[in-house]
Amino acid sequence: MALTDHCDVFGSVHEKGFNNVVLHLQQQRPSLFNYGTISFVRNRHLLCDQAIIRAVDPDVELFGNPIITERPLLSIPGYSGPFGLEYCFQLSELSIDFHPGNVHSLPPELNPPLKAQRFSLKGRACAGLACPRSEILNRIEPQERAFFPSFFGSDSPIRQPKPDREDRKEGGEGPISVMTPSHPIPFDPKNIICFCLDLFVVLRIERSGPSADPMLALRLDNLEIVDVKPAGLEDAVECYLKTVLMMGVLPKIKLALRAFVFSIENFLTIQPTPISPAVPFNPAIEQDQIKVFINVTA
Amino acid sequence: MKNVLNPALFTHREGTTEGFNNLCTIIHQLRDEGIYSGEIQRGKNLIGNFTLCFDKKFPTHEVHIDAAKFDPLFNKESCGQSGEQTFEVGGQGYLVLYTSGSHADLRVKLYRRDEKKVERSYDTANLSTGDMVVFRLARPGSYRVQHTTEKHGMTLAVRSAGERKYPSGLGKFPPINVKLTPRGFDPAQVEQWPFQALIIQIEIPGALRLELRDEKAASKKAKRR
Amino acid sequence: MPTVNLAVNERAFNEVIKGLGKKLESLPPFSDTGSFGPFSLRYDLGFRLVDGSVDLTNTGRVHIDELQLTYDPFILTFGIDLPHIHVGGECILWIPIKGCVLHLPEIDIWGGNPDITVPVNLSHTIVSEFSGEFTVTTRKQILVAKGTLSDHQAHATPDTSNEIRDGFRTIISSTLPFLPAAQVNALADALVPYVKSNLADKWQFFLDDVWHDFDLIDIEATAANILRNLVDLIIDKILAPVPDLLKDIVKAIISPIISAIEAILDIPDDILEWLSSVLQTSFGLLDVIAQFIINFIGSMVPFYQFESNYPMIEDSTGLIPVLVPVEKLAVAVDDDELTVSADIL
Repeated sequence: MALTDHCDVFGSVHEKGFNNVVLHLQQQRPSLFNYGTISFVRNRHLLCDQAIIRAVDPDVELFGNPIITERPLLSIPGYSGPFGLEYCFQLSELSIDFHPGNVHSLPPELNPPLKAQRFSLKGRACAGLACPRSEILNRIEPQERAFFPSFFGSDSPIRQPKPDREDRKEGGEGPISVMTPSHPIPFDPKNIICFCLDLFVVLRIERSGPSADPMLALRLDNLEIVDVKPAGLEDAVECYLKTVLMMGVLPKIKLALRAFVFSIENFLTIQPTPISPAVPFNPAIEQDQIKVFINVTA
Repeated sequence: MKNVLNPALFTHREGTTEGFNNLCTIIHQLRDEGIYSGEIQRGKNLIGNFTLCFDKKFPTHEVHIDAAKFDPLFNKESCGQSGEQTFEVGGQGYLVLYTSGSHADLRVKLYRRDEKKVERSYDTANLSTGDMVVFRLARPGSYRVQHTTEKHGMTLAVRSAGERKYPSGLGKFPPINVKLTPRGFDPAQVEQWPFQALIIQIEIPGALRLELRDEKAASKKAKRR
Repeated sequence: MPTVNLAVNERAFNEVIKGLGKKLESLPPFSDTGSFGPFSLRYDLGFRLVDGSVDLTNTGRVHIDELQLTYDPFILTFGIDLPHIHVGGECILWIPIKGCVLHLPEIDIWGGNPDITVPVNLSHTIVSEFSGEFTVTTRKQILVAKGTLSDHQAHATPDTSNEIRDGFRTIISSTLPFLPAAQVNALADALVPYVKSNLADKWQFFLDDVWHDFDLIDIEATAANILRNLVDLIIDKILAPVPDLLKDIVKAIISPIISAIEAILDIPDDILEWLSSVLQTSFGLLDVIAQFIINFIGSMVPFYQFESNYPMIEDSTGLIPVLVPVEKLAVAVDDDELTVSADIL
């Protein structure tokens, strides 16, 4: 059976190809996958996932490209001083698995096995917080005014000392002003708290829109963050991510099929093969590949 | 495609030396050295002037004057220039007057210019004894050459090849000579090929007329042969 | 199983041929002129594809089957610079020692500059046919000049060496040993820009010409007659303004011209062979067409190439491109389709 039995031009990419491309992207554009504050940028050995750092292509440094994208310090709620916490964040183990699923072991919550015309995405997010020691926090804690509570009113027979002028609150609390932290809180490298979460997403490609102007869209079937406790936290985070994907990300990944009708100088037209019993899905996700079917007309 | 053949070759069927065309060339021999003025007329219109110097010491025995070259419409190379030209002749002093264009009714007058007066010394409309008239005819047929005042005449048959081919040397055959004496043309009948020259030696003054009598006679004769 | 597959079937190739036909029709006519002494020939030539097909075979070859071209427009314009012919000028008086002292005037048979042009319209009358077989092969080009450069360094470094040029010169001079060195070099230099870019390794696709045949195959009777009687056509054009009675006379006068035209044109009975020879040897017209095809069927110049470490993502802000290695590139042809496959490692 020929690949072009039902079309003029056939193209397919195996999931291995996608996954290898992502791997090379990770190795040659590490700054897309590694984020951290200034200490982590200067000392990449502090990052939580060292495996992806070791895999960085030597040409990245040879050409002076960054390995880690610097992020601002984490601000501390209630604190308005210059200090901020240091942290790092990394994405790794990004992979795709086309139907039938044989790259990922889907968690039970996603009802394995992977159904027909579906594909799953997996990723691991690792984060690390540079947790400062208490002694350091004590040393740099802000010198706020002491709170001088007033227990008795002026009519009360019980007398209480009046607060000093500096201790008197004038006109109630003012607005909380937060400045962008510019000084990292010193930390012990042994005190970096690392954790990783695995995320699985199952998606499908759907043809939608009017028949005169069809489009391809990605639809979310389900997603799962593995083993976050308590369960309510896991559910809440999953809900949040689902909302972000369905409202903020996937609607932006629609492809108008009209854009794929190429006309070469008005003498050749190249366009996707129409859907038919012979070609029920275009593109099709099957046999560990994504396949596209194209027709050529003079 | 533009016309590459010279159309003047086929324009005229008849002519006269009183007002010549391209069928006719008039040759006059100058006798007296000196400077001559020439006028070229077309009908009543003067189309050009020239100066002619005759000195026997000059090396050339002949001068060819093409009346067509004096017509600015015909002679595009001389556009903007005046018709005045200067010619020289020496030795035998032959003046060859003709036209390469399709002009007709041409007449050339020569005036002798000396210190005292200008007098007309020659007029092509009135041939002198010793002149030569050359007819070169392209069109087959039966012609008559007639002296305009005397009764002398001759017949000239220009052959047609009919259904056979014309000889390959057409245009290069030697001229046929005829004399016009007081007794008449000698010979009085001539047969020739197209483009072959007929030279008539003039021994009585006057003018000659060429008439086409029968265009088809030559082709009938050719068919009979 | 290869990571990437691309397959194209026979129908797609034939649609491309049809599209090529439409493209050819839209092109303005090609023109050229050649001069051979007093004789010149100009052609104005456009093309139409009228028939033909592409077959994929299970021998691994792509077979082009009887691709028929007809020429429309096809105007051959014959130009002749006629020599002057005079009548007259005879010597009519010759004197001993002095020589000829009197000549009759010379008259030019032609009215002016006697150059004539005769257009002959042969549009739609001649058919050429191209057939051939070729295979698609792939080769990996690794330049010595790359040395020990890393993949990204090689991608960013232009090839300033003469490696490709010298390679072409060697191939051309061994294939065409009779070609002078200057022409070998000129040909090689003309082809280098199609191939030379940076120092990165490249996968190259070649169309290897197994055989090809490009001939004029048919000429309509009317066109054949026009060409056979071309001399008469030219003479009739010259004589058009002459009265019928005088045509034979003028023909006799200009008979040397007629003989010269006949000798120059020398059109034999085999019109096709003659026309083919005139077009091919006089202007290399068919060579131009064949070369247009062979240029892309050549074994030296790939019709397509890409870096084997394929730049998947380029960047203009200073970041290195993301290079993805492509290996095991293969092209296979069978009865159904032409398949290109590769592995992304």
